Amino acid sequence: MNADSNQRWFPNSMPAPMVDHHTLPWWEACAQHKLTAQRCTNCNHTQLPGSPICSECRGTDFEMTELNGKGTLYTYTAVHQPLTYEEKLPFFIVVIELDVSGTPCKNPVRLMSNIVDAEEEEFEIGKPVEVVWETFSEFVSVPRFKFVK
Amino acid sequence: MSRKAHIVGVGESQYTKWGKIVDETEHALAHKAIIKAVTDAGLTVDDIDGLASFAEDRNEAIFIAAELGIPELRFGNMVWMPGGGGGCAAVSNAAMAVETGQAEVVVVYRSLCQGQFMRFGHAAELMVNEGGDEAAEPPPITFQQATTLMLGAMGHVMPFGMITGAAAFALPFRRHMHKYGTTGEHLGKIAVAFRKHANRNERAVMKDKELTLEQHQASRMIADPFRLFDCCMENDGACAVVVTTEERAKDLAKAKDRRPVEIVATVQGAPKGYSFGSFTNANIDDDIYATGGTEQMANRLWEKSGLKPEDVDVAQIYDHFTGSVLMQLEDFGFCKRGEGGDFIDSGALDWEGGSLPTNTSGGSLSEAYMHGLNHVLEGARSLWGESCCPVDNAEVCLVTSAAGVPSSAIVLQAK
Ligand SMILES: [Zn+2]
Repeated sequence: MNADSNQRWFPNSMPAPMVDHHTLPWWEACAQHKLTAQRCTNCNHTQLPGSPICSECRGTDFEMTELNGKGTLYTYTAVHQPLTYEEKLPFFIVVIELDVSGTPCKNPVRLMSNIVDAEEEEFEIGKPVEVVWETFSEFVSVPRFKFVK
Repeated sequence: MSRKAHIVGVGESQYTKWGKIVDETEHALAHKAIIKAVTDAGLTVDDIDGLASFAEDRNEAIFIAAELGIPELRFGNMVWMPGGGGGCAAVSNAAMAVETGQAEVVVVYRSLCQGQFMRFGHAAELMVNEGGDEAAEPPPITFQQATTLMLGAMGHVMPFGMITGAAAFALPFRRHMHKYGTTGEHLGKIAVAFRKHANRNERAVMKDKELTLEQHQASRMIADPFRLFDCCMENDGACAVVVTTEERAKDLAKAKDRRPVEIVATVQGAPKGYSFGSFTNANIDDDIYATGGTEQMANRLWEKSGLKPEDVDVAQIYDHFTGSVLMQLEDFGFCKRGEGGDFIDSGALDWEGGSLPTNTSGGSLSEAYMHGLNHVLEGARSLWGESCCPVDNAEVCLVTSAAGVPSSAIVLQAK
């Protein structure tokens, strides 16, 4: 974890999170550098992004369960088209399957994110990754991932 | 006599590269396409009593109806399957209106001037944070309020740079490559096949531009594995399709020396939990992730129509990206899951000698990007023998809408 290192990979011009009542708690946990998922306290079904209702049991009580920040690469793309015209190209958009071991979560949950500090040749589906935090402000931190060396 | 819905006329404005149409507004283009389509059918604007569209078309039916002087608007409908997923659904809704007696003649239209409004491939430019006054201390970056469910879903992925279709649909296709060994060369063969068809099509934006597999493989990467020529164009234009009852269709077809084209069956929908598909949803079921997401819907279409993939003579498959064509071919059962690459290698999609001539006007990759409604126009033309790439004795045509998002499809049959 790099909670204090304030490392940066993307420019401030990246789109800021757009949130509603149900997705805000996840981003607020991110601001504390805690990677969480929304777990239904009735059936332990786990979902992201946050929703007002559990899609399995239709329960409406949730906990933001902290995960261990580990996971595996589910899929990826190297983006060569500029988004903000300030970021380094290519950048990598990925889907990470998050490790929920050690929690009551009954299903693994996936998150769209980025892999940073990696070359294209290193990408291989299934590779282990771990979270790193990019702090934009006291309000907004964004979880990115690195390959576990 | 039956009220079964038929397609009786099609029409379009000129199609151009995005930003080329500056002297006509988007709704004026819609009028042009609608008038051409009803004229093609042997009808007039006075016969129209319903309008349907999709993809949040900016040109609302109530205004189009008023501007055109439609005598009485009896049906106005907008699809909720998003973007290019809704083209066939709009035809489906028109067919429902006609078959339930709510309207007699429904025109489905889509008008799109990406130059006058926003280019879809550049939506991010509206979303990125402003740099602000360099001398002043910039305000701290904070959250923005999502005012719609769509913005809520997009707002969760945009901080990771997810904003373009190329990246959104590269993610599932990358997984298809991983699972089945599919390659960028397979994608290139799709782009080349459709370009050859467009080279015969006077309406096609890419009419005079040839494309080889070598050019495809050398083209710049957009979102790996999608290169420039794997991505659909961004265009200005409008197109329209006229739907009416079998009773009217028989007379109209006779007058035009055409076979009546029946809308045999229609489907729309999405798998459980799909939301906006791979654009925003990282949690699509693993079984479905590396597909077009349209297999369930395809199975329903075959069941409803009483037809099978083997019955299809010509297909118009939504092609926002080449990879989505390959995955939809598997979804609709033209080959087994994972064998899309071999199917492409067999030359199946080619008008000349292919077992399933596909996108015979060039599709979104090479005719025009009209959010796939032009695929429906070409579907009717291919059964009337009026395509630039006519398939002899074609009787059954499948038309699909976008893969990777909630979608729709129709089967057309010449009777
Ligand atoms: Zn539950």
